[in-house]
Amino acid sequence: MALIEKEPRYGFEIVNLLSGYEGLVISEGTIYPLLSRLNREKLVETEWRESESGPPRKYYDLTAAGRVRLFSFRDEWLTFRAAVDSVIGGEIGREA
Amino acid sequence: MSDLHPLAAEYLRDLKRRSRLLPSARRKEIRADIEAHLSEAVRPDASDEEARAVLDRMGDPIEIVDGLRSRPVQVNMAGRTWAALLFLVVGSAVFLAFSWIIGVILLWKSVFLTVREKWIGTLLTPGAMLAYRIWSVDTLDSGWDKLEFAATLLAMLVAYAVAGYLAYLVIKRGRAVAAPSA
Repeated sequence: MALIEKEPRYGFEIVNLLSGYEGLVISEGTIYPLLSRLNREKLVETEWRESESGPPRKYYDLTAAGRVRLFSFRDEWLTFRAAVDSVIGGEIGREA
Repeated sequence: MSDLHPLAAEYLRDLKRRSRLLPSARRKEIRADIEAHLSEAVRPDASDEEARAVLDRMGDPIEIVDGLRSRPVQVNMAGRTWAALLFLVVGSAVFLAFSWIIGVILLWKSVFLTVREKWIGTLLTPGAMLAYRIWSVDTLDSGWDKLEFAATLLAMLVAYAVAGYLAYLVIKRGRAVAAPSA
């Protein structure tokens, strides 16, 4: 969801961006069911746009509800990360 | 299907077959999504190795389909695959053809097994019977003896072991699907 916060992106683009992060995506195909669920929960909306090459692409954009969810998730995540960092401790914890 | 690499087209066909049990709207959507992805990710003239690398990263179509299913259906599905295996192996030993046919139908409707595993399940009972026939013709002269009994037992054990393994796969995948995903 963070990937489409600033601008709408289309599926292939999202998958490629996510795959760029090591250890994050195991099966690229499973991104699509996830996007579909976000769409059903009205956290993202889709729009078809023409592309310079080939058929139109389905773009995903955050809805207002999606933005709210993203903010609260960020908040929870930072709390969670801080907690894990301090529990695990050591060099990694201090660096972060 | 527009210009797709043959392997990508095959992947898409596999996905189509496995997504048959999804609600129609979700089924159409995921097929279109994956087709669009593949048409960009794999050029039609790409080498088989390149295409395979992309498809490997996509993951098993079953995972994609599982991501779209709602929970009550999943449990139901695992139960049905179980019933299929019971019909196939235990049922076939008792009621023969009738039970085997029901088992095969249920088995092929299952979303938890690959095509190869479905073939194994389908051929399990006929295979065991055939193996037993071949063996018992060899030992026909000596009549119903210990060897023949051992062969029957062995055929049965192998059949049960394979069915057990398929059942194990179904449980494992059923659990994986039922587990909450991110």
